[in-house]
Amino acid sequence: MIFLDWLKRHKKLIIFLTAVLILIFIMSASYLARLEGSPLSKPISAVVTKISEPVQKAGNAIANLTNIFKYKTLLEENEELKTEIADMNQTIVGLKLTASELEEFRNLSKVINYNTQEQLYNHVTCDVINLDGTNWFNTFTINCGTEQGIQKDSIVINGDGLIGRVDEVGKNWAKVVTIIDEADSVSFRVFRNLKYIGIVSGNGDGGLNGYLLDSKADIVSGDKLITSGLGIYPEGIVIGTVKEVIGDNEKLIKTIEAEPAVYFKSMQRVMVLTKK
Amino acid sequence: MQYLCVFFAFFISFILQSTVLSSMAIFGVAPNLILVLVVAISFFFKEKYGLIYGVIFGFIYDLSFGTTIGANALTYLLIAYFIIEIKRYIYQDNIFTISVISIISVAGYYIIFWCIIVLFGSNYSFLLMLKMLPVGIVYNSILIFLVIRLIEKRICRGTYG
Repeated sequence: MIFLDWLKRHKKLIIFLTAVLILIFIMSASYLARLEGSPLSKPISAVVTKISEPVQKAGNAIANLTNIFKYKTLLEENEELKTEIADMNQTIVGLKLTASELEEFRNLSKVINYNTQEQLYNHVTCDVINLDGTNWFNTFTINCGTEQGIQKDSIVINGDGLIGRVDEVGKNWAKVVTIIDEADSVSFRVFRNLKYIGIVSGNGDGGLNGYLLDSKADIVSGDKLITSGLGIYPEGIVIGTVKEVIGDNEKLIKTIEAEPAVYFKSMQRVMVLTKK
Repeated sequence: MQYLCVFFAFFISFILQSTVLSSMAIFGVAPNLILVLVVAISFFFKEKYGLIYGVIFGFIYDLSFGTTIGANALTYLLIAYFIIEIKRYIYQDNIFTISVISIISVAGYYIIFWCIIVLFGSNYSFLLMLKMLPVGIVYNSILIFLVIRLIEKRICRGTYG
C-alpha cells in the first residue's frame, strides 16, 4: 500500500525516468545497429532532402551574392591564379612527354588484362543539400542516390581532395560521413616519398591524427598525404598536409598531425566515385 | 491551434538549421534553433508539452543527422525537465531570471550532449566543446530571449496554458 501511495505521489517523476530509460535503450540499440542504418531514418531523410534542396540553393545564392563586396580580394586572387596558370602551363609541357610514355604502358597493361583505377570508377557531380548546422557532426546530405549509381561506401571527393564516404543512400539522396568524423581510418602514403605508409583518422577537432608504420620515416611538416589504395579509398587522392611530426623513439611508430585538404564547413558541390 | 503553431515553428527552424544556418556561424559556432524552441516551449507552455515536444523534435533531428538516434531527444528531455522544475520557484516575468535560465540550459545542453555522443563512440574532443561553449551560450541565449519575448507579445498568444 505504501508503495502504491509512493507511486501515485511521484507519478511525474516515474514517467520522466521511464522516458529517460527508453531513450537510453533506443540509443544503445542505434549504436549497435549503426552499421545497418535504422529503418525509420530512410523515409525521413528522403522527405527532408526534398524540402531542403530549394532552400539550400537559395541560401547558396545569397552567400554568393555577398562576393560582390569582395571585389578587391577577388582581383588579387585573380592575379595569383594567373601566375599559377603560367606555372602550370610549363609543367603541362613536361607532363605531356610522360603522358605519351604512360599511354604505352597502359596499352601494355590492357594486353595483360590489368584493371587500373580510372577504368574502375565513374564520376557523378552532386550538390550538397543539408549540412548538419549544429557543429556536432561532420555529416552532410547530397542530392544524388542509387539512381545515379551511388552505393554505400562510394567515395566522395572535390577539387581539393578526399571528403569521405557514403554512409547511407536512398533513391536520390545520400548521407556522407567525412574523414574528420570517422572513427575508422584512412591509410595514406607520403606524396614526396611513396614508400612510406601510415594511417590517419579524425581527431575530433576538425583535423587528422595518425601514425607512420616506419619510425625512421623521412617526413616533415608540409608533406602532402595521399590515399594509399589500401581499404575502401582508391589510390592517389589528396588527404591533406602534415602539420606536425611527433617522433617517438620508445614506440616503433611515428605520430603525425595533419590538416585536411578540404574545407569542410562550406561545401557546395562534391564529386562521387561510383564503381563501374 | 497550438500544435499547428508549434510544428510550424519547428518546421521553419529545422529547415533553417540544416540549410543556411551553418553559413551564419560566429567563430565557427552556429546557434541551435531547435534547442531555442524547446527552451521557449518549456518555459511558456504547460508542463508536459516541453517534455513531449523536446523528445519529438530531438528524434526527428537525430534521424536526419545524428549518428546516435535519441541523443538529441534525451538531451532536450533533460533540459525541458530542468526548466519545468525550476520554473515553479521563480518569477517568470523577470528578464534576469529568464537570462540565467537560458544560459544554464544552453550550457547544460552542450555538456550533456557531449557526454552522450562520447559515451556512444564519438571522438569529439572535450576542448573543442569547451571552445564552443561561450559563443554558443551567448548566441543561443540571445535567440532564446528574443523568442520568449515574441511568444509573450504576439505569436501563439492565448494558445498556451
